[in-house]
Amino acid sequence: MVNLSLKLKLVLDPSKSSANKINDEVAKTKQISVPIFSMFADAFEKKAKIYKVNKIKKQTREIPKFIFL
Amino acid sequence: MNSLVIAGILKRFYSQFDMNTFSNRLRLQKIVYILQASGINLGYSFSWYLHGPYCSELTRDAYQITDFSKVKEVGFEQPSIETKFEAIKTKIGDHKNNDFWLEVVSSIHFLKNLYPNKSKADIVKDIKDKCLSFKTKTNEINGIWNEIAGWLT
Repeated sequence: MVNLSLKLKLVLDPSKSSANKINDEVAKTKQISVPIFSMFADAFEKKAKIYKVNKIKKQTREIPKFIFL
Repeated sequence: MNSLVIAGILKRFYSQFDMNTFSNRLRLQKIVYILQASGINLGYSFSWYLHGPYCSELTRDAYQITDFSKVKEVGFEQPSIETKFEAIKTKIGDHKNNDFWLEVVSSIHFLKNLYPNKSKADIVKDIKDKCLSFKTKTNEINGIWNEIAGWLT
């Protein structure tokens, strides 16, 4: 179960703006099994993959450029 | 799609062409469909009509050309697409003048994509049911199916 107050403190506290520090702090808490930053990273990675797949799909749907022979 | 572009692509198949005959209009539709089905997107959306996949916008664009003899051939800037086009053109070969072949090939591809779970026998039946003259063409349609296996299907 996520400790919400801890999560908010880590996000708002400028002294802990480093991702590694956040990750370390979060990992220390036994209430959270997956570090919050790791969850964010997974989400970003997933979005990047979706973007890449959509970009490939878009490229195959694009009309190619023509030249007069 | 620019009319000169679509006419220029067609020119690579037919040195002479016009929109005055049903046969020519069918060849236009099916050649463009097969090119798109093979992965070269020309921007046309096809629906199912009496003689297989058809796009009214394509017909409209082609009618813009009044003198096909003045049309310049059109190629593709990207070498990989140009290579793909040449491969498709080679595969179509002399079938470009075979309206039955063109109609069956494009119909097979269209129906297979529309009904991926339908059996070969059912799709062949759908194609035969389209047209009275196709009713006795089971062997020919199956032959064409085998011909395009691995290419368009």
